[in-house]
Amino acid sequence: MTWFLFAIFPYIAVTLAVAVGVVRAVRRPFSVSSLSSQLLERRWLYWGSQSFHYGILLVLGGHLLAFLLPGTLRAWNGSPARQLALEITGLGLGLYALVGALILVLRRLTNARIRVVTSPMDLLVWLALLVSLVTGVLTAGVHRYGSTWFTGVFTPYLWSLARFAPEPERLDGLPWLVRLHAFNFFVLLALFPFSRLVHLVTVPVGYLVRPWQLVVANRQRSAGAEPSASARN
Amino acid sequence: MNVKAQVSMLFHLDKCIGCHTCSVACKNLWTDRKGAEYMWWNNVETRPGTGYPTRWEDQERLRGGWEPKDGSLRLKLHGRLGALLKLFYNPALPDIKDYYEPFTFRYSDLFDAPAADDQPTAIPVSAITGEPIDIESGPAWDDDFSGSGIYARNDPSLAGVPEETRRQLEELERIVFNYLPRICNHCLNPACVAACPSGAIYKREEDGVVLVNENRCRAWRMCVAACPYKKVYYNWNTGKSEKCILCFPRLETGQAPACAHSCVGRIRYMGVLLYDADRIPEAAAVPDADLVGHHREVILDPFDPAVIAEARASGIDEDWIRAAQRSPVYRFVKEWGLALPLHPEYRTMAMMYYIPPLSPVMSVVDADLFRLDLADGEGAFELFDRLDASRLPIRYLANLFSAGEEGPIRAILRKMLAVRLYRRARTVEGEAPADLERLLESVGLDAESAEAIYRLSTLPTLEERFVLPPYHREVAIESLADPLSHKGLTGLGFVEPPARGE
Amino acid sequence: MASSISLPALLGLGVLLAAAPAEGRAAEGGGEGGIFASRCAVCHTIGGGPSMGPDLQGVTERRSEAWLRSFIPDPQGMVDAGDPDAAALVKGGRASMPSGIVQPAEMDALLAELRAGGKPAAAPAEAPAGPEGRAEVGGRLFRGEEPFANGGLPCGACHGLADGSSLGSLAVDLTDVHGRLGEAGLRGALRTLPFPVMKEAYADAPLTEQERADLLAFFASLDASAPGRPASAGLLWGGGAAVAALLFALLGLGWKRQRRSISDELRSQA
Repeated sequence: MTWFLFAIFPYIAVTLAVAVGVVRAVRRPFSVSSLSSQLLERRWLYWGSQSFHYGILLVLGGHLLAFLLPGTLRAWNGSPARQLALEITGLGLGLYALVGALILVLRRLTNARIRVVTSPMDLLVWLALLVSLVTGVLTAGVHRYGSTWFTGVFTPYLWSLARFAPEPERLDGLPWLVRLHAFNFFVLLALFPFSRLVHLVTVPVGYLVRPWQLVVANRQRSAGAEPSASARN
Repeated sequence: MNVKAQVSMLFHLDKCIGCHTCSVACKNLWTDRKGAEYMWWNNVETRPGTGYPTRWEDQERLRGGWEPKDGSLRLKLHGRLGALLKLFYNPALPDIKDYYEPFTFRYSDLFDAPAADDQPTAIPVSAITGEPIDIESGPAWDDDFSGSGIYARNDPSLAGVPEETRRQLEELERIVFNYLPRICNHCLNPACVAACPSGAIYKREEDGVVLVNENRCRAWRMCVAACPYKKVYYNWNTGKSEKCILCFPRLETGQAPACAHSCVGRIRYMGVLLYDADRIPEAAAVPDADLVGHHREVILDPFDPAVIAEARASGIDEDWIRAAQRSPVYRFVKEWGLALPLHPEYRTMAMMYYIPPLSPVMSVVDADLFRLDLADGEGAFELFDRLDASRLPIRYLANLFSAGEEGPIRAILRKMLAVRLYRRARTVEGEAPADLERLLESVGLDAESAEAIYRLSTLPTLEERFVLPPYHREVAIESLADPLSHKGLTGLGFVEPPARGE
Repeated sequence: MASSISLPALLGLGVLLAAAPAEGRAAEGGGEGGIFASRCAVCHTIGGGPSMGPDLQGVTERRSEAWLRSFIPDPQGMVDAGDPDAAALVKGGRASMPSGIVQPAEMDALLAELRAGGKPAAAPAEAPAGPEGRAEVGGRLFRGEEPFANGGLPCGACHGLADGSSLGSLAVDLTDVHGRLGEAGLRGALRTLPFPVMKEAYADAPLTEQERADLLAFFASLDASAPGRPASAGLLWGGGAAVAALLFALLGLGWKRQRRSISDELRSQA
């Protein structure tokens, strides 16, 4: 069971995310969108969307930090005061995202205009996200101190996955809450290519460097020349 | 010099009767779809009024267009990093209510209602939810002031108009309005293109049409806020932005856009303008007072041999150059100086031009009767020398068309009045008196150009109004692709009907 | 493209996570003080009253040898096999005692120890003279202020102390661990760390001899009768809630302009 949940399923999820994601981006780019509903409803979105997105992005960044730079994190946590400050910040951001998510879910379920643009997949994604947020926040509060033990438990586990030599037994004996939180991440990964979550990888960082104006030619200038996207300003 | 061609449209507002035929033609052709019900790529507003979406000119709130800063331009909406920080909630985006909640009527009730004492009615239902709604707004909701002073009073372009004049606008006897048809301006310095984080919007090189690549659009909806004319719309169903495409499929097959073609008052003209792309950054960044002049400077003389040589060098066809030489838009805008872009102070270098409307002089009360404010015995009741008494305040027109500068507006109105006086004399008396010739000279015209303006304003044929260049589809990129690869398309380039998300 | 591979079934698997049994691994050698002291005394006493697990005084009389031989190496297996006695020992059908701590081959030695009241079958030599333990250094190691030489996690990442100097709560409170396990038991436990998560986490990062001695001294120095844990977990929850509230307050700064749409303002004039 552990082998399926934490060694086989992660690879299934990653394969789905990459393969289906690429196929979708290439074959049906029209379907890739963040599907904003701000036009239809602004006020709940204001409180929900910003808190959810900023909260979950920063928390995700924290997990990524623990995965990539465990030593740095361990050094920071060397002082109980710093560790507590980090844990409080992390828990705060988690709560921020969780409350935002609850606002957004409530909005999706109660607002007539938003219900029109809600698909069953949207609800499934929300369910998985809520599981992630609730188990994550409870883990942070109940099974302290995640910011440190992550580096000794999940960092080697995730690297074992990356090395294609999975060591799922590293998660044996962890509280069920933590195991559910970890498994649910892979569930989200598996849902990613089939849902609106694809907008995650379309974050337009290229905007930071691209020219302001875009001009595209609809004609070939000379035989063999590629259509050009040139820039002005 | 970097010569490019732009297909441009011109609106002769003096001729617009506000019939909305253009809007309906466009709606039927392009936006009669789920998610697009509320969009009016072409709309006609009553001005003074709040327009559509309501108070779209309130850029302090809606953050559209560019603003000059340290000699260069920056988007009013955001900087590069700011754009990424506002992805999750765009504070400058209008609400659906600012357009209007689209609605239809439950016509089936008329047939399905059980027999009763009363006539059944078709109740209004929201086109989004299908639920019955109270209609609070609609397309052209403030048409002809809609029986309320609220809309005219809240027109942002009335800024700077004296309070007394504003009050007069609300008096029934002195009331005045004109119509303002609006489509996408297909700007030379489009803010929507610059604001799109995904780089999905682009300006087409051949004809300057600004288009949304919906395969790249990710619904960050910055374009909606960044366009100062609010002419990019968000389709809530497909999750993609849409906008006026200047009917490019019609243009490519030699037809005028649906709005122009259907215009009952024949107020619309279409033609090619050659412009110098290198001059755009500088022309868009000058102080407000110089904007109109610099805007005109960017447009090049298609008869100038140097321009023609440069145009050829940058790959513009001979027949496009010829089309530019016969372009009615060029004649009105550059040759006669009669037309202006809408709100040049947004600095997007709008490429749709307007000839501002004439209006009679203000009324005065005389022995309980209202009459025009003219001295006794003044026969020529046009306000050639009395522009300040015109019912539509000059300041208002200046706010709309010349960044608040009254000079360009006065010059244009005087030209139009001079032509009118001259032509009336020719028609009524058979010959224009010499002082009218001098009047023409004083406004920078002569008898020949006055005749040409008269001819093109009032009696143009279809071919004179729409001088459309041949598109040479045979060299377009699509024609080089395998023709069978597009077999079975449902239109708009989709192999399958577009689905919302997944 | 398949529009929706339905995954609720997979989600449902999450609830099964808890039931996943620990994978057995060959345990390390008995170590000093025998098998019981090094591996069992973490949870069990002999005559010392119930700890985390029951008191094993006289367990060899209460249970048959055959039963013990199959239960101890694999408690969950016995429960699953439907053994009524095993089932009676566990709550909710799940054995909290991990499988694989003692291998079947080691059972002879363990049974002998149990009969002898926890004493190793062959009396060990005097505890080998190890390095001197420094309680202060042990405390710093525990709290992570000083890293373990091989990069092991600090104890405080998961374990708490009653005085509130460590709030870790993934695993048990270690305030009275010295009293519970006894000197020899604790020394053995530190050496083998025979708990599922720790076994894996420290497999590549064992504690050095000096560190073990320091920690032992630190645990010995702890006063189990110290006042109860202050409301420090409350600080975490309260602080987190405060951070979230602060962030929402920041959002509130921009709310004024967003509260009403332009059309709302226009209509309010009517």
